[in-house]
This record gives sequence, structure tokens and C-alpha cells, in this order.
Amino acid sequence: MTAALFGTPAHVLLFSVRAFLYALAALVSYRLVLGTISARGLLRDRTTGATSAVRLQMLIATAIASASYAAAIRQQTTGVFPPVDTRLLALIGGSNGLVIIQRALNKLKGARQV
Amino acid sequence: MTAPITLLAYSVVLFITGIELVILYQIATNKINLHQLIADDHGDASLSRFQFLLFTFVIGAGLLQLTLKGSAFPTIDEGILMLLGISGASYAIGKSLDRPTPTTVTTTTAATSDPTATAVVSKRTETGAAG
Repeated sequence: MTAALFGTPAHVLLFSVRAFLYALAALVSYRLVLGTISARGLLRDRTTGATSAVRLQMLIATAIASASYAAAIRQQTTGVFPPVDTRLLALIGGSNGLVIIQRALNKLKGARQV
Repeated sequence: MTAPITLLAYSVVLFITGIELVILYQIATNKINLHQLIADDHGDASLSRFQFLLFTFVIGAGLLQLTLKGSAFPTIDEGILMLLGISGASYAIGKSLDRPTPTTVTTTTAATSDPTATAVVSKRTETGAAG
């Protein structure tokens, strides 16, 4: 009778965990917007102190990759993860690589100035 | 399912839901402080950490959704592992680049008491390029 009222325990648990995850995501987003979670310097170049275009492109690439994969999961009718597009992997790999190259160059420049 | 097993299963569900509620309450009342959630060692926000956080939420929510759609635990696609691997590796490389590198600077100074003598002073200076 309990199962008929609330569903199976497994379903109730999955619903509970999903609600927890969404609530956590909402809390983190809200705090990021309010500034309670520090986002200071997210786009700032650590060496020059100016807004970095390379970091901005990585943020945009991350947002695009997350949104497109979340959309692919939503469209999935079977209980299997959709394959990740190779172009998406290239986008993330390339944008992360650019940021690393910039940091390495900044470090080299800093080492030469000593 | 027999009655004792059903009761046990619901107890587990209740226990886990209770833990979730306590965590959410503590975050909401700032007893769990998330201020430095995406910050690096210097206190500035880290893009790699932010990326990892975003991917974790997307994949976590996807895992739950797909588990509800199918009857079994979904198999993790290789691409997801690669995506998380790229993100994690770039974070690790960034951390190693943040580490101050010891560099040896050699300066030659003439000794005042003996004009022919020179003293080689090696100084270890630490330079760090934060990223």
C-alpha cells in the first residue's frame, strides 16, 4: 500500500536526490549572483590584472558545452548517456589548452624579468 | 517486497533525505561556508574549478534523469570521461604552473678589502606567476 502511495523506495530516493541536486544548484547559482560565493578575478589575467580574452573564451566554451550536453541528455529517450560530440571535446580541449598556454607564457615572461 | 524489507528501504530513503535536508539547511544558514567554492590558493576565482563544478552538476543531473528513464544504471560514455579528464588535467597543469619556481641568480661583487678577490653570491629567489 505504501508503494502504491509514494512509488517504490528506489523511485522516492531518486526523486529525493534529484530534488537535492537541483536545490544545491539553485543555491550555488543564487550565491554566485549575490557574490556570497566569490567570483572575484574569474576573468582577470593574474599577471596584467586586465580582463583576459582567453579566459572569457574558456568561460563561453564551458557554458556552450554544458548547455549542449544538458540538451542532449534531455532529448535522450533511453536510459543511456548520449555520446559526447567530438567537436565538443575539441572545443573544450582547445579552450583549456589556450588558457594553459597563456599561463605558461606569462610564467616564462615573469621568469625572464627576474 | 516483504514488509520488513520495504520498511528498511524506506528507512534508508528517509535517512538519506534527512542528510540532504541538513546539508541544504546548513548551506542556507551559512554553517557550511561556500565562499571559497571556486577560489584558488590566492583567493581569486578559478575558471577550472568553475568548469568542473558546472560539468559535475550537468553529469550528476543527467545520471539521475537517465536512471529514472531506464531500468538500469546508465553506462558512462567514454566522451564524458574525456570531458572530465580534460577539465581535471587542465586544473592540475594550472596548479603546477602556479607553483613558485626556485631560480638561482648569481651576482659577482668585488671585495672591498682585497680588490683582486671577488665573491660570488648566489641568491635563491622565489618567483611565482599566478594564473
